[in-house]
Amino acid sequence: MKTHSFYQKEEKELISINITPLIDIVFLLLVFFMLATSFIQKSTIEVNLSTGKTVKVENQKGTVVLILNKEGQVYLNKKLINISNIRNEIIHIIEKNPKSKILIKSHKKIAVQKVIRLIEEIRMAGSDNIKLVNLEK
Amino acid sequence: MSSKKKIKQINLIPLINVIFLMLIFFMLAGTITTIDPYKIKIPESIIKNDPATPFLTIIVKKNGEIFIDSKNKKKELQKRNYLEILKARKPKEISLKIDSQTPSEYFLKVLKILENEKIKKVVIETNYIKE
Repeated sequence: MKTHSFYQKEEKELISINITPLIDIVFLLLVFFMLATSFIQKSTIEVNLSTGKTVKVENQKGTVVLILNKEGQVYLNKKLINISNIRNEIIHIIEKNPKSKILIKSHKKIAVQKVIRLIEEIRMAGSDNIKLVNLEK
Repeated sequence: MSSKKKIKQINLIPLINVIFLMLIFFMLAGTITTIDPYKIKIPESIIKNDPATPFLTIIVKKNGEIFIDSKNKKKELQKRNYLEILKARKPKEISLKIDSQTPSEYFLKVLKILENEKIKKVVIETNYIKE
């Protein structure tokens, strides 16, 4: 004889939402953002296009000549200097003469990165009066 | 006696939580970048300035090749005739995207051209690094 369902132990049905498609989409989004995003912060550096001639600038009183040679060595008024000391040196020069002009003579084959580093050091020292030319030697 | 099969399930909730957190992190902290067709490694900079927004960008590759890119027309990536475009558009300011390993002679050559075209402001695009 069949027993009545009333006496049977009731089994609770667990209703669950299928989350697999959700996980799929979230994974796809995660992969997209991981590949497409970048954490590098963009910046800019302004270059002033001065119109003065090199010879004129070089012969002017109070012009500081910075030479960047092929090996990446920096000479400040013909004296070898470490790039990390340039900022302090320029600060001293500007304190003495705020109208000092800075002429950067870079070797033709030297990488732009080094020229930009030099410009930045000068900018951080507080000078904006920079002229760029090729080193003729 | 009937044997009940137990279905073993891995709890996926912590995994979903972590993935959601990672997704939110990448969405908020990162910026979506476009693929550079020229594969230029721009110079690093220790000065933090606002990113460039000029209308025209001049691209200088490591070997000295010069291109021009207009933000208005994405397909306008032209070689050699950048001077014609500069003369036609007469922009007041320009953005310069130069490879960090480009010899400085090409950099100065471009600056001289821009100076001759009477462009008032030139900004070089860089990647900011902490000193």
